[in-house]
Amino acid sequence: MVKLCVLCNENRAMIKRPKTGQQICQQCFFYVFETEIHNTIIDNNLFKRGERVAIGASGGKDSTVLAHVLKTLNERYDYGCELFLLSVDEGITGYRDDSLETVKRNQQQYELPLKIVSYADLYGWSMDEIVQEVGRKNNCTFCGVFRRQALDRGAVMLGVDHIVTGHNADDIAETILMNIFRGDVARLGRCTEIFTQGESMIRRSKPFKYTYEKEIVMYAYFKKLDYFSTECIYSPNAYRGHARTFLKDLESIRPSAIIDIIHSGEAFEIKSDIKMPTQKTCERCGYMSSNTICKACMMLEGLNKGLPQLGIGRETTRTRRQLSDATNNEETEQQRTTRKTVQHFSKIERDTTIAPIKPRDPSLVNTPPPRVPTHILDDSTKSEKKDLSW
Amino acid sequence: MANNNFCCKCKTGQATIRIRHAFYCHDCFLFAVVGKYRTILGKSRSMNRAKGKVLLACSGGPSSISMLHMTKEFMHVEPYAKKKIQVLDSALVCHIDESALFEAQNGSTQKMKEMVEKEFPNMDFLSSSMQDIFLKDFTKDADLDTVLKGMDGSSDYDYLVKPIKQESTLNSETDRIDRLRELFNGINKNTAKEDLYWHIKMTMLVTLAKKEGCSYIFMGDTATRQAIKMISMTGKGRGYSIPFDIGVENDITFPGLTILRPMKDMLSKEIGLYNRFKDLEKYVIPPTDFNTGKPAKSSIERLTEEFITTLDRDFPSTVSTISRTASKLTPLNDMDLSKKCAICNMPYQAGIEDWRRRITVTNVKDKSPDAIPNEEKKKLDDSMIDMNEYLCYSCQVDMKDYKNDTVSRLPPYSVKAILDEYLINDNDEE
Repeated sequence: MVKLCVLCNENRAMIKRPKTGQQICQQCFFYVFETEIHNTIIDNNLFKRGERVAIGASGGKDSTVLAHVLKTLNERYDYGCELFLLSVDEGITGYRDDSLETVKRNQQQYELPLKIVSYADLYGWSMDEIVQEVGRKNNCTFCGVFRRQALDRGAVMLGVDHIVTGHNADDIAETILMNIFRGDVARLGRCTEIFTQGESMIRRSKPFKYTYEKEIVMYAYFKKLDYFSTECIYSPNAYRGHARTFLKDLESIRPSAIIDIIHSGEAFEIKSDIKMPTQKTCERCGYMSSNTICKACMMLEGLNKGLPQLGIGRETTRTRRQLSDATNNEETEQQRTTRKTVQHFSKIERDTTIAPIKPRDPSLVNTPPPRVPTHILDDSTKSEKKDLSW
Repeated sequence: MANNNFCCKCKTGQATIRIRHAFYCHDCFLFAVVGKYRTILGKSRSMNRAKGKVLLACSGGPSSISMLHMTKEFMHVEPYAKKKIQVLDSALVCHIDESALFEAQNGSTQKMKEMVEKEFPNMDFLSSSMQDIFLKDFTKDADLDTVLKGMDGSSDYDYLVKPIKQESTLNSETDRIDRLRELFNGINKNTAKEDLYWHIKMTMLVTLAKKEGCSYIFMGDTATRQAIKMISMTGKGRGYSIPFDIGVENDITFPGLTILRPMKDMLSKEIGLYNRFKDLEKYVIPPTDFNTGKPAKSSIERLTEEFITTLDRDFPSTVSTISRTASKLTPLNDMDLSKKCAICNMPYQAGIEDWRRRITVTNVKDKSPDAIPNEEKKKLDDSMIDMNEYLCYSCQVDMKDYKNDTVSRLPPYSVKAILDEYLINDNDEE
């Protein structure tokens, strides 16, 4: 007996939808997927007419699908936005330079202008060099802090005031759980907001807030989209891994748990007498900060001086490490000169022309095959190896 | 380090106990644990305002027993200690017997009664069985002849039911026990079973407290349990009512009644040690419920319990951090307290159904690019009620795991709450 799609009752059911468990056909899947994102955009007034919007593109599945869907919806429902691709080159050999090739191909496939900013240009340090200095334990902090600023700088260069990122429902649910585990009340109150608005800073939004990661993979697979899927080579066994495993187990017990967590997170309200950080501007580079000097500048100073732990960890351990690092690095200190002064935020100039960047020959680039999703209806007959990284 | 051998508080006694990262000697440990209990009672807003009778909810588990013991010590005022003000007038120990559902709990009521008579003679004892929820005592103006029958045609967002008159067959104890068992057997997933079990228990405790004229209910939730509940309730979508479900003090949802959790700062390890030192272990009835002995992935609560206890072993500050985060949450400002969920009696948000319709689309009929896809609310037959309108988000999600005819076995208090709200709305529209 051929199973029919439960939504349209016309076509054959090919997919079991991860979000609801319904068995539906491919067209209905594309339709509901895209419509839900459209609903999210409309209900939260994400876009205004004539707005210039940058899509944070890493070459991974989230950003590729985001670029594809936004382009489609922009045309279909006429949001009136100008879309750009914005990429960050952290300088990780064997990983980032390959994933950037995917972004360059995306630029041609979707016909969107692309801008790439790199840590080496902005800060004078690439991630490879940072990891050599810092080791493998706290390197993710550096990358994250630098990337945030890099994206905002790139946005100013493009002349956009709105960045969209591909954070999906799984990411947000994971972040909510992480913030509860770490007791970070300030972030807990903010992390479910679909919009983050800094004062003079670029707005950011997450149209995929209610979209499941599994569905994104499925969409990319069926639409045969081109994306890069490997983990960062420096990715450690972080605390986040525990939250991730827990979330995946929750999802296997009850598929709607991810949305339920986001629903709970939206209802959280922090007591008003709790002390929260206030927003100021960094004295050196003009970026937003909770202290007088922003984290990025502090970490850069540490790197340049040979004190890589500056800005990381608690006060007592920090001073201890600083002293021990200082004694170790006394000889090299004369040789080390500041690599680059970071340009002040207000002085960033806009790029008036954005030239298309040609991707390299695909046969020279290491592109691992995309993930195959595991919720297709005739899954049970397949006994080949599944993607176990979920 | 030589310091490990000495208690961190008095610095003289031999340290024999390690809690989190600190070492304590026997006496300082006991003093610290009891001190936490007193601090919570001392800081409680309501207790400072008015004295009243206290209902001690005792399941027979280790933390309930130690709570009873600490309350007894607290109530006992030395004649020479003039500074100690006796805050608690009188106490009533209340036990809900669940042996209808769990065989292992057979005889728990008898054991508890004997213990209270022997160890806590100035406290009264009251017990009730879980199947009593089907009695008239637990529903004001009960109409035991009306049940809700699940109807076909519910979409993903609503749950259609119809009230039907059915001769009440709940006259004998065995009938009620059977009904209770059928109710729980008619729920597929353990997560939903546990939720319903807990809500029924809370309802019974609240009703008994009001009936006996108590103004306080003490519950024995420990810090570990609070952390587990925080995460599992987030996972079930109960974020809106978390401040009420697990907060230290809740005097908002039930007017005239304050629910306190004096054991909130204590880890389950501390409770276990306290019971051993005070020789209370013989009274502990191991609490069994739907999760006992089951594998980790059988339900959300069980999974969370496994996760938190394992994580706490590697990172000992986990439980206290989550507890602290939980205590910083407060109910939303615009909370409408007049609307309460029919099953769990907690306030619920308006507009849940609309939110769900926009997030999960199931209508593929309007495929034209101009129309903003919108679910049309089905035209309801006049006698049909959409139950979801009177339930909070997580109870709605739980209902999805109920078999079709289980709805007709819901306890009378839920049925009445739904029908009352429906009639009010119906009258408003005229």
